[in-house]
Amino acid sequence: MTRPTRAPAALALAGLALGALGAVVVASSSHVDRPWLTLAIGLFIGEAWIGAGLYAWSRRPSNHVGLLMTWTGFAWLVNLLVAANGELVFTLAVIASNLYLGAFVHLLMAYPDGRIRRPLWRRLVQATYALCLLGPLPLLLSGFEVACDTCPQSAIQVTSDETLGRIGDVAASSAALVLAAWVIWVLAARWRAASVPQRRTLGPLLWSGVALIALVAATIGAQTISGPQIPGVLPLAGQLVFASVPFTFLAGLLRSRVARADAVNELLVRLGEAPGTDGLRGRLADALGDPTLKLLYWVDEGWVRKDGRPAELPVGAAWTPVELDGQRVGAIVHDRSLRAEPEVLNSVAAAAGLAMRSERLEAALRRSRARIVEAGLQERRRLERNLHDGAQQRLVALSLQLRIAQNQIGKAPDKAVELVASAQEELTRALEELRELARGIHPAVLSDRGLQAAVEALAVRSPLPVKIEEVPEERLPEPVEAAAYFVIAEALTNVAKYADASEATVAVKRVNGHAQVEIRDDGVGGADPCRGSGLRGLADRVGALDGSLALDSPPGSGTTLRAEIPV
Amino acid sequence: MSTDTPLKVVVAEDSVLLREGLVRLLEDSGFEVAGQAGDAEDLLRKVGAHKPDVAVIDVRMPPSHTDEGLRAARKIRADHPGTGVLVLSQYVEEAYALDLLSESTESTGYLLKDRVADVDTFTDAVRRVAGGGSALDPEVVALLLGRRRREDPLEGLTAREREVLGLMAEGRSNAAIAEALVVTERAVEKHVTSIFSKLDLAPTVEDHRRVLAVLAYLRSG
Repeated sequence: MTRPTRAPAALALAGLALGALGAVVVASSSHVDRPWLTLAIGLFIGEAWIGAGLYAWSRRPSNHVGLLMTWTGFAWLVNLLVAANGELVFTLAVIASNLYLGAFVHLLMAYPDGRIRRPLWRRLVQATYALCLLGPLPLLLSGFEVACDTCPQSAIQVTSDETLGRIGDVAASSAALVLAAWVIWVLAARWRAASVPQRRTLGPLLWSGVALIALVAATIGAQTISGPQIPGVLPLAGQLVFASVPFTFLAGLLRSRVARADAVNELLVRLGEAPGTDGLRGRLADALGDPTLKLLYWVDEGWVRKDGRPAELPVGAAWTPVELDGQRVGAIVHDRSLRAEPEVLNSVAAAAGLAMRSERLEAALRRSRARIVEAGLQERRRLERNLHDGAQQRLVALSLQLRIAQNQIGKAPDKAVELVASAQEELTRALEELRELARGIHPAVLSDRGLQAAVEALAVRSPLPVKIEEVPEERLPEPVEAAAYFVIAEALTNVAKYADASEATVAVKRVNGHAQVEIRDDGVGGADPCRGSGLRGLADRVGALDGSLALDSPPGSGTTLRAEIPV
Repeated sequence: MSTDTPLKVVVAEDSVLLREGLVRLLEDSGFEVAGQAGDAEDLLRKVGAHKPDVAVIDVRMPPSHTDEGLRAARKIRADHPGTGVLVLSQYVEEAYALDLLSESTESTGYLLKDRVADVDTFTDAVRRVAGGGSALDPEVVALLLGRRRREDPLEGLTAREREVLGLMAEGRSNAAIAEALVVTERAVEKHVTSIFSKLDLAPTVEDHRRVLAVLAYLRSG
């Protein structure tokens, strides 16, 4: 941690100084019953809050929870000054004596990330602070003797009408009860809305808060009935709860650090083992204690799930990128509350990098397989449609014509001859369509004669001039020939459709145990590799043979598509 | 050729239905079908035995269903010079046609299977091949003529000249071209001379040499 060490140290000194001042004041007080007990409890609670707060702040300088705890500790120590014998100090201390409750509610609302998330909660905090400062005023304005006859005079007394003071006090107490109910209601709502890991973090503080506020409310309620007493002194149960908060907080902090460190260590060990049913995801979920954790993989400039299906980063959740050797491999999508522990997230992400990379390859493979399957289905649908709309319709029409012709032969032979002639024409067209369709599925010449003849056939049928630079005469393995053929066919189709070229050149070479297929044109360039499914389908087809596909298409300088397929 | 002695034909086609149809069609048109074969081996045996004037052969036959018909056709041309071959293909596959016709166009033909339905065209092709001529399917010719070339010399031809070039490539004689286009043979000769000079081809009189030259030219793309 490179954060300033001076500010915490200064605050610690200030806390000790305030404590010392309080000690002197309490020790010399004329109106405190058991000064040493009051002092011991008061100092213990105040310094515990300040110490725990400063520790938390030094661990997470960017999180204001620690500072809020420190502030609560200071506000608590101010309470000790109520023991002062001087009128002015006494009066000011009484006004400030409830501030620690405001600070505590502030902490509750800002926990765990140190920021108040909702405007409503902010107003609640403001109202609490206001009431804390305004609450003692009715008594101070009307004379304090009602509550404590040994206490010094109020420095701001304006009337000695007891009734007015009582009325004001009841009003303030009622407001405090409403506010207390409101705070408890908000805390309960937060608990209900919290996720499992959030609840683990929120739990101790939230329930201490509920207990303390309930006790404060009960005390205020009792005092409203029995009459006012020295303000700022919690009943013993309340003091116990309040004293416990910094310790449960510290314990939680330590426990989660230790637990997470253990979990990360265990994760490192278990990552080496064979994956279980829930695999990597389950292990990371265990390590981070977040059962909702998900993994996404970075494939082809997009997020995919492990099964290869594309996914989006969820809007509400937080995510931590996983990188390996400076390359993005994937992301851990986790509960927002885990952001409070960036070191743990980072070490888990670092530990997961290698394992995620191999799962990423699987995901990429599944994605490409899924695309191949989808492309196959699409192709079948297209063929079905073409067959149905073309040859099949013609054959139905033909059947009909022949039936009519049969009926007409006896009655009107001329008409029958005419019908048979037209049936003949229909049949010719149906045959033409079937031939074209069959060629699209798999050109016979490719299997019979190999790539050279098939590429020549493509060139002859291309709507623009195609120069064949070089194609090996010898036969290549059938899948290689087919992949090369479809790369060339698709590329020539694209050139004719988009490139506005005057000529295309095709070359197939054998280089270093690879078939290198290259299609160049002199067109407008600027082809988008993501355009349509054609290129993606080709990349999958070539990728299935461990080959690669590269598109080079600078605007204005033609397009070159190159495929390298191991032979 | 005298019409009194019918031309002898051997038919090789693995689909029985189509084979029966072909046999019937040929017999109805006055040919003598001397033998029928269901695969290439059978075909070669029957050609050896019957010495037919022409063998009508399907490209795809058992066992591999690729191009054994074509290979059998070339073997027949080599082993039995007196027997012409007419290959029938399901596909417009210029590679097959040009392979078959690239060395010699004599007594050789390549037709789409669909053509058999057009009885006159088909029997005409059979007779032409039997008589030592050639027959190339119009669709293959159209494909070759339609090929886009850079600085296409074919663009220098008139529409009529292109028609004549196409008919030449199909393997027709000047007389047949004249008949098809309803012009005089003299006019056809003029067109042919013009075409050969525009395409920078050496003029030749013999029909099958002429086809060879034209095909070689069209193929060179």
